[in-house]
Amino acid sequence: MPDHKDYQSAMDKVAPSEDWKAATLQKMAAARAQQEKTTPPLRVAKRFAPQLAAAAVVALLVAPAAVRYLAPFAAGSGGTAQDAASSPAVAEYSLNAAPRAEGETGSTQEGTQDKRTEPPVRNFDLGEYQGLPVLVLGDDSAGMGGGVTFVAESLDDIRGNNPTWNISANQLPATLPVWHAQSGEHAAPLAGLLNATAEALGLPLVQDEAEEAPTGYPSPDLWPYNLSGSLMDPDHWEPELPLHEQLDPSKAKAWNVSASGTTVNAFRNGDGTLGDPRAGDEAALALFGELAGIETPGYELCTDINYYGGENCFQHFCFEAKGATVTERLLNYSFRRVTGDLDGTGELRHFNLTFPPESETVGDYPLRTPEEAKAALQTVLDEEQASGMREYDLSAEQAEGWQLEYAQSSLNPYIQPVYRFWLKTDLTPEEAFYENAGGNVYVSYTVSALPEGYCIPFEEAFN
Amino acid sequence: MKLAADRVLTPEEAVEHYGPLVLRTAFGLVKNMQDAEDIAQEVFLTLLKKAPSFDGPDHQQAWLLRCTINRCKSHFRSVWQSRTDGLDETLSVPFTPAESEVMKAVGGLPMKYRQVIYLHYIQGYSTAEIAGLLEMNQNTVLSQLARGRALLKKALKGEF
Repeated sequence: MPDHKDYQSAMDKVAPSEDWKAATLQKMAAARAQQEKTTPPLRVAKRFAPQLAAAAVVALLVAPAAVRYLAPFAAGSGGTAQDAASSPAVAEYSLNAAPRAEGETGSTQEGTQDKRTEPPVRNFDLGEYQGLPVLVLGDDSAGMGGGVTFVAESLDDIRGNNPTWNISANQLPATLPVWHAQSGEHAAPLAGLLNATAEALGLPLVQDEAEEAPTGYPSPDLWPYNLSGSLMDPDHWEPELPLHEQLDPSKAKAWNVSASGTTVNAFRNGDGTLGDPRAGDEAALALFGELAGIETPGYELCTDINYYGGENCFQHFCFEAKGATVTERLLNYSFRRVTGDLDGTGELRHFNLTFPPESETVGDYPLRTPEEAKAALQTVLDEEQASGMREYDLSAEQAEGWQLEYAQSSLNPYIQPVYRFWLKTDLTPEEAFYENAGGNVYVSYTVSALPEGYCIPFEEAFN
Repeated sequence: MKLAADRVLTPEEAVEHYGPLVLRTAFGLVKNMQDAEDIAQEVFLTLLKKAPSFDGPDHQQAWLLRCTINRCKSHFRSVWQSRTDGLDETLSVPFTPAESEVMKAVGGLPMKYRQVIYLHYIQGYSTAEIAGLLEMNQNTVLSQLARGRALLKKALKGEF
């Protein structure tokens, strides 16, 4: 019988041909020649130049020092959380709408600034339904099925603090807003997120190129992409040197930052993080809480049981817990989040910031009822079962609850609401391949929160 | 098969040293040599254009793998472009019948299982390393690996 050794020997036969190597090197030579003809693609945020001296004071990124630096910025940043509390309207979630501190002139240098003023071009069109554009929903599991499996003693350990958890039908919002994900042609919102983060840390942003849609993609509008860069210690910034030398980890103190959807993720090289996931919450809140508009922090800490039977934290963050309506609380919970981790020396090593969407609003969409969503879930489960994707029985009736979430991922061209269902399976942990764990086996599935007609799966749109 | 160089390589040197790794990874995921070659080429062009900084050769190798996997995922989004030619039409040494059978079985796995099977069996990564590479929970990697293996045992009617 064939086994993994045949797999290994087969893969050993897969090797690049000389023709491929030659063609690749030729293309690289052309790309290098093109690079040398043009100006370097990396940019430094000009507005940080006058701040370099001040930033040097906090260059070691020790949280208390950075907090002191942040104070004047925070005071001038406007009350976005207050705005959010007064209305869930999209415009009031705009970071750009917040007043800038005196003397600030804008975002990164001219290229990005120009993009901010360009009108968005949306040439992808699936038509309209009931007066609203028909959306496409990219499935994270890409049709692979199986849901996401968790082992836990109780569902309460893993489901988090979503404000819509099992709310009654009459508390459901009538509509929820949908936004475009940022497309490669319009980088300004993501650049804005990186700039805001750079400003909070007091370090200049060295901004990399945005990811581009691949050749042949039907519309760049459908390409959610991320923007990455580095926050440089100005003591090590020598603009005349090539970037890769600037970022040499033996010389530079740099934060690696990237933005996608509404989230900025950042880390810096160094020692590992402390084991306690709560270590860093306070530092992150102090640094970024006001920037994210958090006035009344709520905390989410989700743990499951790992393969070896121990506790595993898979999600933790602080979020804005206030809101007069379910919609406000959901938007705050979804888009005003901060998390941070400290390293062994007590310095912030990793953080994550989630801001309200800055991209173009598509519209306010009506929602399916939970019962309609459950019926859609049953269809998904039946298809999985029929195709052999799942080896055990599962019914939507096994759902212990649901919540509304905003789907954001590299496969989703829109930031749109989905229902997440949590189902308790009949499996033992051992049957789910958790050989040393006890507890119950849960799976979670998401289905679109929009009624039939407003949204179609990505694959259907292109087949 | 973790064959990191002894130093961080230039993009052109990386084509020579990591070309097999990148091409094999792409082929292992997209199951099509023509697509795999296109993806591998894009990966090295990205390395040249982005000029990322690396802590060392292991970091460079991990970046190339990650970039390849991401490109393969992008490829799957381009479903209308997918090609379905045979697995071994372009190989200089053809697969044995046993190899063909196992490649077909692995190729039939859902992508999420295929990628962990590939990284574990071909690249020799531990589940912790795969978790780091794919930014996934190690538990998830373990269960996907176990489930992928179980599906392969079933498909091959034997061990894997």
